Amino acid sequence: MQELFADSVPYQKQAGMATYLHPQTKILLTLATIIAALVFRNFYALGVFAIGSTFYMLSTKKYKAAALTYVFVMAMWVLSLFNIWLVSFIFPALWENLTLKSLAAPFLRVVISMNMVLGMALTMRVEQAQAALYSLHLPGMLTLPLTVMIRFIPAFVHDIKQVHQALRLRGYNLTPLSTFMHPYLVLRMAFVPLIFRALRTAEDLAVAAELKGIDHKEKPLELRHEKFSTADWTACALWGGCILAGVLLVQFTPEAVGPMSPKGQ
Amino acid sequence: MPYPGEGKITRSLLKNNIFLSKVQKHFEVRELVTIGTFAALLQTSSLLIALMTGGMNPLGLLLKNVVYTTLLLVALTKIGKFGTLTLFGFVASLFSIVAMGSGIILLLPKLLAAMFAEGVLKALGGYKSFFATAAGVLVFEFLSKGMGIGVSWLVNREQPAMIIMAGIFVAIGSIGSCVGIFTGKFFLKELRHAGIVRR
Repeated sequence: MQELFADSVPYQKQAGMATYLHPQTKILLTLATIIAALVFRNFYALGVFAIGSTFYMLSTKKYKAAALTYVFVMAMWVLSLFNIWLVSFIFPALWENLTLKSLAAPFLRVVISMNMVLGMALTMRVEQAQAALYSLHLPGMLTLPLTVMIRFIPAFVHDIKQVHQALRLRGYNLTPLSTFMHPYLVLRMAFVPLIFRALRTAEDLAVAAELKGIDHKEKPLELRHEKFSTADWTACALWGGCILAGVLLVQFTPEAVGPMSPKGQ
Repeated sequence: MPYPGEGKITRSLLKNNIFLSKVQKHFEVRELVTIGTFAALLQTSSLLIALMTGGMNPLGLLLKNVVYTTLLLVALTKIGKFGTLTLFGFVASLFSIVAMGSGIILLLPKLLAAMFAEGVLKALGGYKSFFATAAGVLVFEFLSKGMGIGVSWLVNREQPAMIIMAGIFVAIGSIGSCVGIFTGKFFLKELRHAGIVRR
């Protein structure tokens, strides 16, 4: 059950700046950054947010998780480029209108989102997440599934590792080629165990929530009274700095990207 | 001691909202946890399938939709309460926005599609009937995809080639959704056998 929750190490002993932020600050910064990433279309402005969010993610000191995330996003980007190239044989105009910056913009948005979400998910405990969402006055039937979703990510990564190790022990190695060649085998040997484990995880999480007295109808009990600290104000100021830098970059490097932007705007 | 950031007016409004409090009491903690788990599982497995099958090619799309429909059918049958599909659609869309930074424009169409599908499901006999659940899932899938194309047309109407491509992808995905109903039925049989789903 231990692995289903954030580190049980005492709060003060956990290293990294992201750990010291108030849960509410983490949630609000994540949402605000994702909205900003959606609003900005300028490559350089998105680059500023990508650098800022990468520092935030790295401040959790979970370097392995960060490296895996970047490899994953990079692989997705390369695959999408490959697919666009394939589709361009049918619609040649699609490839001609593309620039490297316009292709990189969606990639940067995904990097920003993943940095912020993982930075939040890897440093927040269940009760902290629920208390923070509750204080935002969201109804309980939304806060509880959202809390579970945040905490499910590490549990699911753990499940994937276990299923992958089990497959390797039996002499199977999952690659894109093997998935193409043997989809039924992949469905049976990777997907089915994952569903079973996810259902078990859901059961475990539900029992744990009930035993801990977590309820969506009542105000969650606050075991540790969190206060806004200097770190929170510093993080908010840095975020404001990123917004300012983004706006200035849009003004001084008027280079719009994205499907809705007229060229040379 | 007042809770940090607690607004008395908003709290009293929430407390006095009879509809909301009834909806709150409608779901158990166990069911809400299952909804959260499955919503996260759906989105992450879609991403993994896209990666494992080399991006959005026809096979990847087909497989992604098969998995999506299967998981949705399992989750709805496991919980089996009115409003599950709507809550599930809404929570999954929220997760999609937060985790992948996309789909914010599709939140409202998805919610509307889920509400309509919920009505169809209820009219056909509710969650106790497999046929009604399967019909509800298919209505939700087709409606949300159709609305997605509509939104895509609004955003990319200057490039009709993109809309045609999106239409082809959606058509392939719809085949996957239909296949997903049968795999979902197979999964439910296995899960009932394992004692994980009791309905």
